[in-house]
Amino acid sequence: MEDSILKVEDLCYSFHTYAGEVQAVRGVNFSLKSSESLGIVGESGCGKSVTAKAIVRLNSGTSGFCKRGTIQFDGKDMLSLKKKELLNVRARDIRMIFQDPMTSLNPTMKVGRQITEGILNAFPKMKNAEAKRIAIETLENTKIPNPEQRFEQYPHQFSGGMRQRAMIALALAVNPKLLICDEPTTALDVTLQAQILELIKDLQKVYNTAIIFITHDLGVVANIAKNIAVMYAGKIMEYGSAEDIFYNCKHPYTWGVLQSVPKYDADASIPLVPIPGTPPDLFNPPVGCAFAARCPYAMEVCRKAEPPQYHAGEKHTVSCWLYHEMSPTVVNPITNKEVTL
Amino acid sequence: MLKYTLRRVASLIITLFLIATVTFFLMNAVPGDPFALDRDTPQVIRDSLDQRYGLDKPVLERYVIYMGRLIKGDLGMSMKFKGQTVIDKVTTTMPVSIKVGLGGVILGVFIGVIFGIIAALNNGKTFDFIVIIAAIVGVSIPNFVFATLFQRLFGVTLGILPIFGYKGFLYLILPIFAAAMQNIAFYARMLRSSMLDVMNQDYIMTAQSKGLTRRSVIFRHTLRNSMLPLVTSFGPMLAGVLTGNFVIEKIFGIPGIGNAMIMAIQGSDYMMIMGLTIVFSFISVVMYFMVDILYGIVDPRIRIS
Repeated sequence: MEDSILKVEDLCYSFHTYAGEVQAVRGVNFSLKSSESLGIVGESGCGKSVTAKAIVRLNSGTSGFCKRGTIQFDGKDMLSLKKKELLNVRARDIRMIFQDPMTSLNPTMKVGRQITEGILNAFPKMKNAEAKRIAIETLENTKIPNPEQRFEQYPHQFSGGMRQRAMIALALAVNPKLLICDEPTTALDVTLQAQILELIKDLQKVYNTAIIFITHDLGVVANIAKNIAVMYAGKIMEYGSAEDIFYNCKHPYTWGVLQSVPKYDADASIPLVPIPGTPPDLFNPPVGCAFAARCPYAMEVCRKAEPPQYHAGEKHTVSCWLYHEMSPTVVNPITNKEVTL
Repeated sequence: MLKYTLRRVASLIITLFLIATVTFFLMNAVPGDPFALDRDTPQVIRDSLDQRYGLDKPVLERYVIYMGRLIKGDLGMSMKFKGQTVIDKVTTTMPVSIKVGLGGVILGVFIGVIFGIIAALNNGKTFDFIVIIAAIVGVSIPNFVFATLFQRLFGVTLGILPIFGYKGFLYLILPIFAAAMQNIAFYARMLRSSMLDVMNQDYIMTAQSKGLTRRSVIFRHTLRNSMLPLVTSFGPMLAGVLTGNFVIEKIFGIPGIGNAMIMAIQGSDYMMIMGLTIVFSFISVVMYFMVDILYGIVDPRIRIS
């Protein structure tokens, strides 16, 4: 933990709305070492994007506010950072890639200019020509053909996949310490998804960047993330290495998610198993475990009190009452073994 | 592009032809004629005047004669003012109309855009509410109300500006402001909403994620994109430069083309009504055409097909 570049502790983030306070993130803890990758997985509205944006305070234009918790990045307290320092961190150290490449580039500015703008903002003393050289080099690294020509083009002359590559180039051109990918492949078709994932994975090695990868698709993070946090209703339900999550997962929610992922070799006649019900209302989060209402293993205690966090391995943690010593024994539907820590 | 231009020219000719035809018959359907005066005119004089101007012929025949002349580019002479050709009237009245019209548009866009931007940047705060309310009021109140209010306030109460006639630039200030009022309100609203829309776009978050200052985000990314809808409004706006200020010209006694038109209608000056209508229509259609071409230049995404 000593050398962790990012440390998020007990982060609670809420939004004021006319209907009241939405508790989007309700106590999230994780840390990330430099050049490591973390996947945050969860369904829509579970707070994964809010968590990521909170790191660089990109939610602050909205009605959102940080209720509790700390975010330490590279020895800096991100939540109390002065505006100017915050902009410096955004410019140089933490860059983001967003979900929809069709709308995340400015349509009236040349792509090259958008990249050099970011570079020059991070390194104000750099000469324009040097920034342009770096931009073209980065475009080349993201496997965009004819980068010199593409540099002079507008976003509407790029296809969706090319735009996402340009976004990646825009983010990586300053060689940031942390790259936050907020569902970067969700808006792309499947073949492009694979290419973009491959690209991000390759570039991580080249640029030696730490990555937070947000997605609702477990299949996507399997490929890219070393550690995975499974989020539900603003909380991390289970955290562990990719192996822990895929081969030895502990939380009933993770089981549900894994069971609802289609397998390429599955018999077509076997229906997918969905998780019944809908996520809880975050205006009034449930008192006990947020997943209790949809959990087939829910016990009396699950509805009354929040489960403690159990350590199942070196990094592997799980928040579920099933691991209490007094709980009944159940069978893990993924491994078909009785659950133990 | 050539094909497109030719098609537009063809549609322009058809439009003008239809406008001329409709105006001609509507005008003749209105009671009264150029020589119907309050005082008794001897029938002999009336007959000879009718004969001289061809008004004794049936309407259809007159229509054919008029259109025949029009094709040759002859807009004719005024029936009320001796020796005054329609073309002369247009060329003498147009410059001052353009001054008032263009002044109103430029001032309106300038002030409106600035108000809109400041309102958007202060979204939800007091200034924003003031602008919204003022803009609704401004759009709802017709400009002749502002015209008379300005005359009262600046001309009578304060006595600092002339309110009638045209003897120099000072005489244009009040008309221009009166003409600008609705434009100010319109553009303030438009810019405010388009700016708020742009500020919620993903690429603005991209810009912020690059660590740009608020100022850079606004000037480099937000403003230009918020201005795009402005271009779309150029067509109606430019067409209105000449044709939009009839009432204002009348109220302030500006000898412009709108004033000439009102006088022609009041006096049933057939030739003048026809001529001015055709000139107005021609200007409007050409303006729209020019704006269509402009779109393609300003926004590379717009293709004329």
